[in-house]
Amino acid sequence: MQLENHANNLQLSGRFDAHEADAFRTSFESIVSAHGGDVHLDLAAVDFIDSTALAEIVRAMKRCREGGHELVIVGVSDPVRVILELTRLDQALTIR
Amino acid sequence: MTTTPVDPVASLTGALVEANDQLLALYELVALSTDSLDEERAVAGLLARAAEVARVDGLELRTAPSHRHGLLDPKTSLTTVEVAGPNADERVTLAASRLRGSFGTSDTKLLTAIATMAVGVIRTSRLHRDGVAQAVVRSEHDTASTLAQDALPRGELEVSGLTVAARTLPASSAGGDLYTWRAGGGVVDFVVGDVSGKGLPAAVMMSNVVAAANAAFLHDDLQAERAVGVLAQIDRWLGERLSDAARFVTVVAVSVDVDRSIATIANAGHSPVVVMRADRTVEHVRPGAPPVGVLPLDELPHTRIHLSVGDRIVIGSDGFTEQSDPSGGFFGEDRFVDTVCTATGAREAVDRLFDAVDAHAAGQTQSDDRTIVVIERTDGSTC
Repeated sequence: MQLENHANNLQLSGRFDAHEADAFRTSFESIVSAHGGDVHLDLAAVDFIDSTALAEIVRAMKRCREGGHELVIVGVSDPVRVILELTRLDQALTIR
Repeated sequence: MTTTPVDPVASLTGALVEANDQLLALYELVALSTDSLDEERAVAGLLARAAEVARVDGLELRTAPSHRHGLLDPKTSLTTVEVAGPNADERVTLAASRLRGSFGTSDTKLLTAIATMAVGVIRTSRLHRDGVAQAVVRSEHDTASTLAQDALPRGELEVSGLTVAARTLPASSAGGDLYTWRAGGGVVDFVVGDVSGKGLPAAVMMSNVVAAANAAFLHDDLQAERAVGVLAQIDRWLGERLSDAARFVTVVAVSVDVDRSIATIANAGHSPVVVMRADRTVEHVRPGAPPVGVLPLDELPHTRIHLSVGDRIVIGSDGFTEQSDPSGGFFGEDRFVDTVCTATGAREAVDRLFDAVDAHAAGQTQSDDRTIVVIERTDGSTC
């Protein structure tokens, strides 16, 4: 998985699975502590996502909401969209 | 001033004798072995025996009464050597005085050999200690894994009018996949789930979910649709705890009223439930809500179906469909449905699915836990 963060934007590509969860959490937490506010998560280039990664996204969503902010998913690839819809996580997450 | 002429023959002979003594001392040193893996005792034992060897050679090693790494008293010694291991605290300093004659380079070699052996003993003791510690952790991990997996039902469920086959295979010694069931009063309740994450942490939470499901089966206040009530209870009891642990669990609850041939299915975030009719047509029951632990489940949509003889309900985890082959291709949903629906019975469906996924993986590592429960309506003559 490639992981880039700029200001409040976190952009992932490739596989997002259990092996990448720690790296994602570290980057996410650095954004939250450095900037505050909403965090934009771009999953447009993610071609696979597993349940551990989904749990990390849900955790990030809750972390943002605790601070009165939002995790906004600004890009979703087809494979990720299928999973989000299949698990009904699209009902819980903010997706634009 | 007068000088005594040096006899070259006597000098050479003395040197040869000394060299031979040193050689013998080294031989004896190499033959030493320690009889303890406790670091303090092992080093002290080695140095005590090495002192005996050195004394024969005219060297006096005076060990301090409570040294840690064989450090002798350098103040009263005439020579010292120091040998260090790879780590900073693996260092041995030896000091010695000569009982007779004068120090030579061979003395330094002997002392260095003793100190090197002492460093080796320290390293061996520590490796042993670390190995024991790792073995204890591994043993506790294995025990915890076994206990967690023990939460799952043992044996087969035998109910007149239904054939049930189930199997789970964690990706490691324990996993987050689960199933459980209970039959009573003409109704059979099932719960199948998948806790996010892998390994022991997921397995511990999995055993909690199984316990909650088993308790929910017995709850007096279930809603009219039992599957919905069971799922609601699990959410009530575990939703917040899962959320706090940054985990969720996908859950399918199924209640089968055997006498009325009615099945109710509630799916929270789990893979689609496959309903195969006796005529081989296939329907899917997709999730009506997110997994438990994401948000409180306010609404729990459910599906109610009539079960005829030969109808089959298949609840599988994503560990089948997401298994990769050597080129990265997934087993996939279509192959999953085709495999379980072309089998002649519930048990064959389970066997064939595991065989087919293994064949697809072709030696690739199992990427996720695999769990399947197949419920087939029968005419009551088979259990």
